[in-house]
Amino acid sequence: MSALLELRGLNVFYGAFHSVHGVDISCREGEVLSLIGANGAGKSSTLRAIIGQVPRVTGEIRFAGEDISRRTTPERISSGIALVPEGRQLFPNLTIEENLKIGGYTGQKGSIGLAEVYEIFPALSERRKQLARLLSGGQQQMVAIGRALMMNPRLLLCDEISLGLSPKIIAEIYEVLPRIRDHGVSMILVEQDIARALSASDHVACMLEGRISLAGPSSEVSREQIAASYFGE
Amino acid sequence: MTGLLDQIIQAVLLGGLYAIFALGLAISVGVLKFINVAHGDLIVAMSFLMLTLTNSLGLPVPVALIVLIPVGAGVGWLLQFGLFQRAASQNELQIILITFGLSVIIQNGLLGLYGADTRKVTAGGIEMASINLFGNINAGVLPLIIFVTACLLIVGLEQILYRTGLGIQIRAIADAPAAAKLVGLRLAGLMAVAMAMVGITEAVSGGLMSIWTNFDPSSGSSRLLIAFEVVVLAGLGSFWGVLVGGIIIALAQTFGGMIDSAFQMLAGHIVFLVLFLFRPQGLFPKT
Repeated sequence: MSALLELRGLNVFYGAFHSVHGVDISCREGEVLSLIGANGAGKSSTLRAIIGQVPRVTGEIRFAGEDISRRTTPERISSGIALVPEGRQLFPNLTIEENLKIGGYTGQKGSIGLAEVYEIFPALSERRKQLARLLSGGQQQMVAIGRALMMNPRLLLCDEISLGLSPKIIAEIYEVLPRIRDHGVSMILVEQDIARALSASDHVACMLEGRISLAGPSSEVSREQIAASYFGE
Repeated sequence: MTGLLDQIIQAVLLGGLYAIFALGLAISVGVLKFINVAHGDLIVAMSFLMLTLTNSLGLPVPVALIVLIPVGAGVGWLLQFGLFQRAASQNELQIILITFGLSVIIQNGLLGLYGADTRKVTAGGIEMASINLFGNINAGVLPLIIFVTACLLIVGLEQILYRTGLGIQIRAIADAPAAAKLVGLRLAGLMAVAMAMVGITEAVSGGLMSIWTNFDPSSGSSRLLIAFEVVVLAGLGSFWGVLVGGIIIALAQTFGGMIDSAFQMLAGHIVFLVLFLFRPQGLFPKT
């Protein structure tokens, strides 16, 4: 399989603060990659750099063989990258259906539409006219994922999709990921839950203080190795 | 009793004109998230343009009104792209100051071009024409046209903003601009479209105002004040609320005028202040 996404020497800066230091990672077509690490390790900054939402970036971001480092966020999304942002970032006063449609307006045309999203998340179909701000945290997360799927991405970036949710809802959300993968979508999951990340992904990369401290196939990396990389022991 | 009913009907129709004044400001405040201090002056500028189109170029009034609409849209689009968008990236206060400066520029520009005299566009027989509603109650055709235009504008804006993909995207950027960036909405373009819609309402209100009443280069501030009161009374996001707000202000002015003609405008402001005291969120807020 060829690399769908390649980061080469990625650096992210917020003013004078150097957040991500020379990160090299790749995600192949059809692969699920987990990016794990403690708070402030640079995981979300890396995702935001990929989607084009950080103030200053150096290094190379290649997607589907092309350097997209200088492209705007709308251009990156229309080329096949979608983000499920941390904290969901829905449009609270728009209905579920309107939130989902927004994804359809900005992304690529493809096989995933409203019907497919409602099939994946039947709970949304029943509440399609309900305002997003009136939904539970789990339902909001489903809308955020559904909105990103409506963009028909080749690569889905999921930033802490389990954050603030009950274990039951997290399990429901993670059960859906293989079905999304069946649509040919590659994924990068940013997670703090090591067990969850390992079980859901093919490859794992651990970040510590803005650097990749460990990377490898999920099946070959032990929890002890990850724990050591996670805390820098 | 008939006289009172007649006054109420005239006030309701005047409320239609006030609603048209306020619709553009409602979009500015609700969608673009800034108070356009030059809103009233842009309306007056459109009235003067109407004067030029009819008096100097000899266009019939209906044709001049139609010509004003794309001009208004273009002006709105250009202002957003060329001026407001740049200021919005700085801070909210800066954009208000810029619209204040724009207001001064427009007023002085109009003064230089047209002088300080009070003007009015003559529309012929339609200005005096009236139809009998019932009994001894008559309504002017022009006020009726203006009221119906206000209703049509509201229906049009509601349809665009709530029934089209463009409208959903515009409401999304108003609702959560940070989220809008993350999902790839093109904020600058969408805001320019919203401002073009504001420009259309300014063109329509300026055109109709030029036929209904007198205007001069300094008339903008009084129009802005009425528009501002109507928008605050309506509450954010409700276009039909804007019509109700316009009617309330017009009714207050009418009843105030019945007490004492000097009390007419003040009565509108007092009613606004009282209602604002009890419902600061407006009468019909949508969010």
